[in-house]
Amino acid sequence: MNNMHTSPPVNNDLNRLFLGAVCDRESDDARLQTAPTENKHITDLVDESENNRVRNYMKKAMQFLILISTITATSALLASGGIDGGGNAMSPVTNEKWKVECSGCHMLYHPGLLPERSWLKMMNGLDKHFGENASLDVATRTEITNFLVANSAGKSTNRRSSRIDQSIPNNVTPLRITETRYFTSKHDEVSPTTFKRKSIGSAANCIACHKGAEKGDFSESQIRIPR
Amino acid sequence: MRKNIMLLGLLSSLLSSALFSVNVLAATPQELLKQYEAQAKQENPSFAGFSADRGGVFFKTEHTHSTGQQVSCATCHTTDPRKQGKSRANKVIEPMAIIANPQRFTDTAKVEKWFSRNCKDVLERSCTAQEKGDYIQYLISLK
Repeated sequence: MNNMHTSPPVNNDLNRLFLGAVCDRESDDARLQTAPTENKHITDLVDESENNRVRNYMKKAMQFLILISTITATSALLASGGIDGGGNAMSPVTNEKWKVECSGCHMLYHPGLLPERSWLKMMNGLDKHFGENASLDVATRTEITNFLVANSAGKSTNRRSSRIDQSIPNNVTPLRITETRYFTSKHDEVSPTTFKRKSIGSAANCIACHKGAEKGDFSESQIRIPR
Repeated sequence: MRKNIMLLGLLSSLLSSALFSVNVLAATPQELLKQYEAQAKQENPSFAGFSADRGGVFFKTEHTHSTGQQVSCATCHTTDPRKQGKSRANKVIEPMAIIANPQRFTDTAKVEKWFSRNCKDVLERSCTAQEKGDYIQYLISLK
């Protein structure tokens, strides 16, 4: 960069005097643009402005390229589930029967939110499902149970599911995700009155604040608590 | 030109197969009423038809559940079946009235599944064919 300078060293020193220490840390281009021009010859100025134009153009192009590649890399990283190990995002698993039958009365809960033993207990008590009758025919129930078990918290590689699983003592089989230590520790700053808001309903209605909840996306950046 | 004709043929065959598959699965509320009528006659030899008025009363009548709660169909579906309801878990329930939701009562298995669940939830027993028919008649009658 320095060898492209057309102004003599004296000018550089003068510039330094005018612009002070702050400019020392900035790029040469910035200094040239803001530097007083009284001490420069006309020919120098013409050459310099031409050089500057080319250089600025190249710099902008580079910045643009860097910006684009950063965005691409970041989104690829996010899509792959993050920097650490298996990532936080739950795997995008799906089953048609699960989707239809388990979202008739409530939001669709991802299988990675509870361990196998919880899903088994839940699917064996559908006639008294949180106080309501949610019975299914045997074939449908079996298919959904198998799907839930295969993708349950203990069997998922993503970090969130593993942590949920680890937060539950072995001798406990929770049916409510909200009763797991993982949930309570993650929501300790949300007051009970917030959960009771009409726009939310209860702590079980994840999707009110986590719009990606049904896809197993509970990332911090996606949270929006409605009024 | 030939390409166009082929495309047209493909499109029409796709369309007809789509229509056909819908027809196979679908029932109409009237067809369902016929089925419940046959059942009702078996349950009660003096069956004298379905009544929309009786269905409306059935829909709104509150029962004291064994948990102590006062419940009716309208608890979740609201007293106007032309409007959206809300489940206890905060999920929107699409309107029940045919005029507001033509998808209702077009799938026999679905209808039976929900009668079986909701009758037990509200009445703590199964519904009779008479009650089911009256209720469907009521939902058809709403304009």
